[in-house]
Amino acid sequence: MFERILLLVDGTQASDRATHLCIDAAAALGSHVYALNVISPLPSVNLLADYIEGDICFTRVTGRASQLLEGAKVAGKAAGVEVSTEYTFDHRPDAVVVSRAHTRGCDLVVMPGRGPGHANAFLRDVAQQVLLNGETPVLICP
Amino acid sequence: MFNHILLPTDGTPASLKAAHVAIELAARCGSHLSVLHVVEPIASPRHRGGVAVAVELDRIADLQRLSDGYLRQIQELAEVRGAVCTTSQVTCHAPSEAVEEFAELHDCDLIVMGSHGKHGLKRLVLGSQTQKVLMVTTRPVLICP
Repeated sequence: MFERILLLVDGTQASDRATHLCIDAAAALGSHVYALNVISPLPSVNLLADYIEGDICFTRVTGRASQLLEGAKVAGKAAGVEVSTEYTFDHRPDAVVVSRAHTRGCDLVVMPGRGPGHANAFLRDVAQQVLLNGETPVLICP
Repeated sequence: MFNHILLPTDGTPASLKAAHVAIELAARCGSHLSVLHVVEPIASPRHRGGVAVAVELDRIADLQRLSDGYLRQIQELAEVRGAVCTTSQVTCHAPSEAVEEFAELHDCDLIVMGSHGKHGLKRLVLGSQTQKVLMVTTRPVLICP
């Protein structure tokens, strides 16, 4: 049960809680964790700046992603859980999560939710889209 | 990891799928599993007067009998798998609030729920109660499609 867990990391407090919960679950169930960070593609002005100045923006966003993923890796190491990491550029994190969960044969997705309250009720919810478009159980941490 | 898992159920195939996941998780983690069925009374347009009230009570009694069947089925599955399981039934007009209240009262650290069938229009939106629980709860929720 839950041999491969896909963990979506996005740097929020809910994401930190999701990471700890995921690592605890993986330690208890003997699972492998794939930590994933989806970066929003850079606007053209940043790409142009990178072209002129030499990958400053690219380095900054990928450095931030690596830092977030490293946090999951360190938490995994402390609990004796094997964690693989990946970051990718995409406008639709939910589509990437569904696709990676399928290609890597993950049987559980752990991801941060919005938490209680209705402030963001009308915004597009990544967790909801993953549930509606995927076939994998989703553990949502508020 | 999880000490107390709450499984709200409504007897649908999706919630039965969630039940299998919750039972397996409870058995593997040594958690206590609480199964909750919220009986939602159907509001009658003729709620005033003795006859209408009697009809309403009959309806609730029917729903409670159905609910007993769902809960017994899940308890048997849990017993077969060796998971510690208790069942509860509450009557409430707002199932999502009843779920959160139960979780708060019994200090549950995980809620396992089913989404719903995934055909036609249902694929466009989550089950209404699942969505409401996600809106009100501060606990992790495991949703099984």
